[in-house]
Amino acid sequence: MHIPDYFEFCCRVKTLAGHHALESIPDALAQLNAKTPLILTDKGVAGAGLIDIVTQAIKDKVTIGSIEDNIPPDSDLKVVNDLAGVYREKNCDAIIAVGGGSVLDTAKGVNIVVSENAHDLIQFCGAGAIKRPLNPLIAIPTTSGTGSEVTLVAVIADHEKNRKMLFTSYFLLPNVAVLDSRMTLTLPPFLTSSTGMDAMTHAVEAYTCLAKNPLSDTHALAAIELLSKNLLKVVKKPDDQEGRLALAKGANLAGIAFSNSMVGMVHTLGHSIGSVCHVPHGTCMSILLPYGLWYNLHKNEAYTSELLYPLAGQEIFAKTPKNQRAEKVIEYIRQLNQDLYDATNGRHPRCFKEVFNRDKDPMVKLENLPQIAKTALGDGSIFYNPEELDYDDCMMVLTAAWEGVPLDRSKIKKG
Amino acid sequence: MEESTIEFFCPVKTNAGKKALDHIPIELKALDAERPIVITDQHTANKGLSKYIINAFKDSGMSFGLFEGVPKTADIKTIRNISQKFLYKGFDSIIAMGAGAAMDIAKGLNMVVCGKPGDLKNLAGVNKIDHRLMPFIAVPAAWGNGFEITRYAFIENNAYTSHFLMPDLVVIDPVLFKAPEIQLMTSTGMIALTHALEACIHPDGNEFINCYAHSAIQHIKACLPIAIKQPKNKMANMGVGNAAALAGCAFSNVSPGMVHRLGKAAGTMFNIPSGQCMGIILPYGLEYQMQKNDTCASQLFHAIADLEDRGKTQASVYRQKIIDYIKSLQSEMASLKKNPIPKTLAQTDISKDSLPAIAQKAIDNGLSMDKDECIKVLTAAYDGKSLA
Amino acid sequence: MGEYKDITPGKKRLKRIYTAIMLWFVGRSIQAAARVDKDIKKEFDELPDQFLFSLGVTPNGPRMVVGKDINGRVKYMGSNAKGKAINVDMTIKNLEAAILLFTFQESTAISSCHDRLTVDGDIPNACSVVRILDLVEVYLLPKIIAKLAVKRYPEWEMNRKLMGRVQVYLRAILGF
Repeated sequence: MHIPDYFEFCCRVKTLAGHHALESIPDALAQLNAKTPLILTDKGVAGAGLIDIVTQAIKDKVTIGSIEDNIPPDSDLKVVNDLAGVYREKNCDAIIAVGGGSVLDTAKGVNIVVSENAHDLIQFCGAGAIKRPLNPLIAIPTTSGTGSEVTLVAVIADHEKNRKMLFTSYFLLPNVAVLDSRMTLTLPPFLTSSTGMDAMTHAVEAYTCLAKNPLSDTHALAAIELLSKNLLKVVKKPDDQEGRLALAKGANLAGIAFSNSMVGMVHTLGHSIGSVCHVPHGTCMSILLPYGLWYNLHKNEAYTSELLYPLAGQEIFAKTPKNQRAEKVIEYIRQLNQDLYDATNGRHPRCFKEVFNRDKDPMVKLENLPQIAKTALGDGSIFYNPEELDYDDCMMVLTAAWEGVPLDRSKIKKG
Repeated sequence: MEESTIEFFCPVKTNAGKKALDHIPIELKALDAERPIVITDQHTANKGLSKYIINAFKDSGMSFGLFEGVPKTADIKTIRNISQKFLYKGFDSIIAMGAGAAMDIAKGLNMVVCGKPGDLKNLAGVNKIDHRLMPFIAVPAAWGNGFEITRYAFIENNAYTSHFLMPDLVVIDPVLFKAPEIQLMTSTGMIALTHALEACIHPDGNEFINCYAHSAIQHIKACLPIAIKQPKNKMANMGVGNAAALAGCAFSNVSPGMVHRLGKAAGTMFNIPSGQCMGIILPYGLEYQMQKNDTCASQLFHAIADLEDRGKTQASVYRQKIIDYIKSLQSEMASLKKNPIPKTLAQTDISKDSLPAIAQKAIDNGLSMDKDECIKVLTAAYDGKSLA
Repeated sequence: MGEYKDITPGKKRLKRIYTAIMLWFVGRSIQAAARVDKDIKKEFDELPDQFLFSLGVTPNGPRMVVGKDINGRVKYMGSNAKGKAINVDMTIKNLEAAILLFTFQESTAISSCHDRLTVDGDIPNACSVVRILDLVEVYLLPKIIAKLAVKRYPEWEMNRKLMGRVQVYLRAILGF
């Protein structure tokens, strides 16, 4: 076990998990002295009928202030201000956010505005600007998952002034995260696979990068075990309720792990591909994960090899000699990507040249790689990666990940 | 498939390691506070530990009030006394350094200054507090029972239970664990181990609780043996402190288990540190629970064994390995040259014919177990012999 | 019974002075290294005009400000950040953490993993600043210490390292 000289760990979110967890919301609201929630979501979630399930579960015991589903895929300042207006108008005293990352971010932004009676959100930007608990916020994730129900960060884009505002504070954490299997039962296989691998990446990077600590480690291992046992199963049989709940718990645990010990180069490169080529985050994570592990192997092989236990199980761990375990972990993840590719009929890509948009055009071209590499150098997660990454290193990894070929470890410059 | 909804809550932030104390000023700022009152117990003051908290505030621009030497058990008079100072001087946060009484007094103080002095009697019981209290930082500096983290406070025979009593932050700094006190340290270690292991097999247990419980056990495994052999090793001692805090988080989410209740009853009746009693009873209590419930063994083994062992051990030997591990810890503690820790109840002041009374006390305090079964476990712990 | 005291902890004078000197030296070294090293110059060229970076201890601890003046020259801008438009603000949370950093017990990477630093401002620019600091450390510190401070010790020719080191030290102390 690695005990760093100093570490900090915090997860103030109450977790409720079960097949009927939604029904516990009225009590949770009552404990927070609230009874008129504003429900925030996006059109995709509403269209899938999930909001109906939520309202069915709570409408007899609380007064729903309003249901707003106009949140865009990228959180927006104007939307935040409009929704805050609705909150005040309907005399709401809590927010229930149902959805993924952007819904949660928007909800956190709205919560800042209404709790602090803010006219200009910018004064709360940066670390430590929010110093008091905000109004009650309940998060119901609908993917498996970004883990944004347990992160202390919110990013709101101000499209008018063309800037992104970053808010960091423990007080941004939702009061309660509700993990209910009904919320992901109808999640299509290819979204299940990519959000599941997103969660897997969070847990793996939390365990293998520089800021790891004993508590984030136990959360990460528990997450990897749940995700590994259930992801492929659920992609093949989407109505597996137990499996869905297990994935939701795994994604939540992975979220807790990485928000306390950061992530590394998989996110560095993945964020950049996302911003340059608009490839969905989960897809970037699944493709890059093995490459991140390969690249850092000379620095964190010991930790990577421990992951074989939760990933592949007791028998394979015992049978594999110690010095081969790390390689086996990478092989296992590549195989998982292959199995997910097969199970989703090719919609879960194994490499970047296989990523296509709705019109069947490739989203990542070789000529994009230089710009992606350059953008990656400006991503904060680069600090927590065990090995240094410069432009050439990024290009090398990106090229291999584009092709889908193993990383040539002899070319890695070791520090 | 009517599974009930699982629940987990731990609002405590943990800061552990070198220079943890020096982070306190900025943590207070983040909680919108800048004038704390610091409360320490007599034991902590006698060890000269107050100077460390004073040092931590140097250069921070903050000043604070220091109340040194609260009595050994929390009492309302002291709380009232301090609360008057608190309100008069306009403090806005509470830091408690030490263990046990200092923590309970801090929690009591927090209830009083956020309401009226008379409130203390009214708030006794479960979940009677309905709003957030003042920012509260717990700094364990002596060997206690990890209860500072929990949602419990005990003041003059009244128990208070509310998650609002949990500290916002717990600070564990190795510099405070410098004076070796092996008896108390091992007692704390065994309380941590008991709480963590019983949380793993509790019927209300879940994956989230296990994350804290497993980490506590890993800390004990890595640090307790070293702390026993090298009493002056600050980082090892701190590791045991970490374990106590983490086990407290797990413990806060379940009801007390059998070994806890029996150990506490024995300790209270015979004035022995309850951690010591829990440590003695632990292997027998767990053996009993593993006999009653098959799944316990694999849950416990999962928590105790490291990955290599888990990989190569057959399920049929889990039970024995678990018991052997705890007994090996007991042997290490028993082999201390000065004041060896007793391995069986017979080696303590407890007499064999008082075992039924201990069982009764535990049952009266909430243990739902058949009295004869309790006596069976206690007898095994008395003789040091495995359960039949 | 207990006893009550009001406490007004003073300052840690020696540690303040040491940290202030180290910060001054780092600031001047960045100014020097930007003139001596092409990689550092390139990083600065890509930063915005009149970019300013501040590193210091909260709340009123020693601080240094370094950045590009109106002519694009990299200069050490003093120990006071008030009234200046700081693009990237790196704050060390307390004096003890600063001592760990400036006695090389914790590298910048480890210090941030240990939650001892906060960074406010434009993140991509902050990444450039950390790369610049790493390169400056390679110039200032002997290999055995620098290897602990940076993740990957660069393979430079002897000339670049030795001549560069002499020039950086000279320029930092003399200020040209």
